Amino acid sequence: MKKRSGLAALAPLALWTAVMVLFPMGYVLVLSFLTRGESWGVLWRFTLENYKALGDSANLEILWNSLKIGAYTTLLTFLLGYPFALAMVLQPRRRRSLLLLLVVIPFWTSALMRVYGWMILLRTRGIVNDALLGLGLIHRRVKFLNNMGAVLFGMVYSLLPFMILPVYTSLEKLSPSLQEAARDLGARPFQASWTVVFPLTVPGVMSGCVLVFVPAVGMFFISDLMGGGGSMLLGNLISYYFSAGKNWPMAAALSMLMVALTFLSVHVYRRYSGGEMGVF
Amino acid sequence: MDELLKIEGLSKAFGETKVLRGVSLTIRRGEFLTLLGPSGCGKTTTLRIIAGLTEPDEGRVYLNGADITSLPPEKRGVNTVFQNYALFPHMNVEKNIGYGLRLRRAPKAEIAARVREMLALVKMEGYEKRMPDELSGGQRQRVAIARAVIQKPELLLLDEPLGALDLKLRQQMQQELKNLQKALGIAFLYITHDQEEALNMSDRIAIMSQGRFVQVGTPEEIYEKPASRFAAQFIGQGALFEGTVVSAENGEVCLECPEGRVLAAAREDVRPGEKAAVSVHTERVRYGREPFPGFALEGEVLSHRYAGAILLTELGLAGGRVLQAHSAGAIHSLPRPGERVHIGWESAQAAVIAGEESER
Ligand SMILES: Nc1ncnc2c1ncn2[C@@H]1O[C@H](COP(=O)(O)OP(=O)(O)O)[C@@H](O)[C@H]1O
Ligand SMILES: [Mg+2]
Repeated sequence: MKKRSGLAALAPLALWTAVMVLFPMGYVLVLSFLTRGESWGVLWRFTLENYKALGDSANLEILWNSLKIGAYTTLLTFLLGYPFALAMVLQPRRRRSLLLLLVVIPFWTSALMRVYGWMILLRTRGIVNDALLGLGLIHRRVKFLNNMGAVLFGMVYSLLPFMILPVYTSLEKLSPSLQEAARDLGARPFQASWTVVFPLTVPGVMSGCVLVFVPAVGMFFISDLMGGGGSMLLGNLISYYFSAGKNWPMAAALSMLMVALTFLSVHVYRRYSGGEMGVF
Repeated sequence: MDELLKIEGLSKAFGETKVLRGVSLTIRRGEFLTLLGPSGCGKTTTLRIIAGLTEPDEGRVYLNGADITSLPPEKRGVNTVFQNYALFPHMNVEKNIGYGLRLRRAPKAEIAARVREMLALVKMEGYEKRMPDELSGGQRQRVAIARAVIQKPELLLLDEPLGALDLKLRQQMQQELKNLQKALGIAFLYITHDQEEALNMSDRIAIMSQGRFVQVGTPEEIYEKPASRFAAQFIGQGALFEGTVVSAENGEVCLECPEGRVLAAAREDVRPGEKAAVSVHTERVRYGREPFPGFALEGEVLSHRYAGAILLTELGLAGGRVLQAHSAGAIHSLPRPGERVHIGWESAQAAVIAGEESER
């Protein structure tokens, strides 16, 4: 993006930001300082109770679990996504576009549908169990679903493209002559990758981490479905307070916590990608 | 033996396109050898094969007599200055230059000292902490050279290192590079498509065309005795006369051609009755009101114009061809446009090329 585009060009962007971001955020922020209504809605009475409640041990545990799931998901998508992106750029141009298409295709259907799909496959009486039994690889049906592992699997599966795409973009931008220069100066292939290629893709990796970590902490339907609702994450908690729990101010306070987490990760991202917004 | 690098019968095709068709060459120790040829003739491919970055389909590469054809780039004693410099954008000047030594885990103090030495060599002291994107094209080029030379290669490969610089800087850098090569005492294999640059800097030049070497020789040999029509047209400014040899005696050949009769220095393999061509450089073409002995070439003065430092005259020959010549003196003292003049040159200063016009 050009650094200095005219102010006029910024106007629609500013309007967009105001309507789509600032207004709802302001609304949630205000909400988070109000008192919950008796049975429904809110009372216009200022309070800090909602924020104090964030420190409850139950909430802290959920926060901790969410961060853990977020971190694991990020780590796993990185470990899977980076080699995948690397393998992609090494392909001839035509096969690269095909692979890119394959990475993007899942976006054409709803993530919810795809997770349902996995549930059907992985059920205790599902196809995967049938197949494994049939092949004699297992002797008793395995309970794949309704545990943290299943949630993690669902997260990694859903968010992997968000890691692959920015990493792929940053790898593709690299001139091959950089790696050749490294080899020429005495680097073995792995050394060249580690000292030249990887550092130059850190901005892409950081983009990927933010794009994976933030949704992983907040997504609720995966842990609802794959985790059987038994495992509460931050997103589930917010969704609970907004709906069944009927405590909008509490949900708002939790949302603000999530916003803070997002800002924090973007801040870390900017620090480690040299202040450049890379893919963003 | 002062033979440093030898390439033998290198061939390379990318898909259907044959880029190299069996090239062989020897580079001597401490020599400045230039690969000169038009864009796309296979210079970079040759260099990449020597560096180990491209595998040849056929042929071998020997360094100091040892076959290095299948060695990976990091195990060869040659280093490269890439066409786009390929500086590591995430490392400052100092880190870029010290990269090779850090890989070899040289002691910190040694690295620092050697980097300082290199910075002094390429006159970049004070730029240690600059990042590559904070340098000008010329400065990047110096860093790229320092980064390669710190490895103490016996042979440095340079791929059009001055290509991206403007004319003034290019001329200055030509001299500096030449001095650097002498000071280091290592061999340079230098790539350019600029014949002036090649003539200016090289000990020897290998002219390349369509994946082959068409002539290898000193700048003087290349300039004075082009071995082919391609070499004659590629080097310097000049004209070619196609015709039949009518006599070859007293160190002179005489060629009968559609434009008239011209002379050139004799060559053993050119005999009367054969087809041949005479090549003459623009600055050697003379014209005047008196005939030139042995020549039968006339033309009409078309125009005079100042072309930078010289006065360029265009002469219209029989058949409509235009021949350029240099003139001395002020325009008003020269034969006027429209005047008919005789044309000729010192026979010893023109070259004859044997054979018919078909190769290339
Ligand atoms: N990796 C490659 N794949 C396909 N064609 C190539 C490749 N490298 C070079 N070529 C082709 O080979 C020819 C010679 O290239 P090159 O050696 O770079 O020429 P030069 O350096 O003399 O300009 C060009 O036509 C170029 O398009
Ligand atoms: Mg080239």
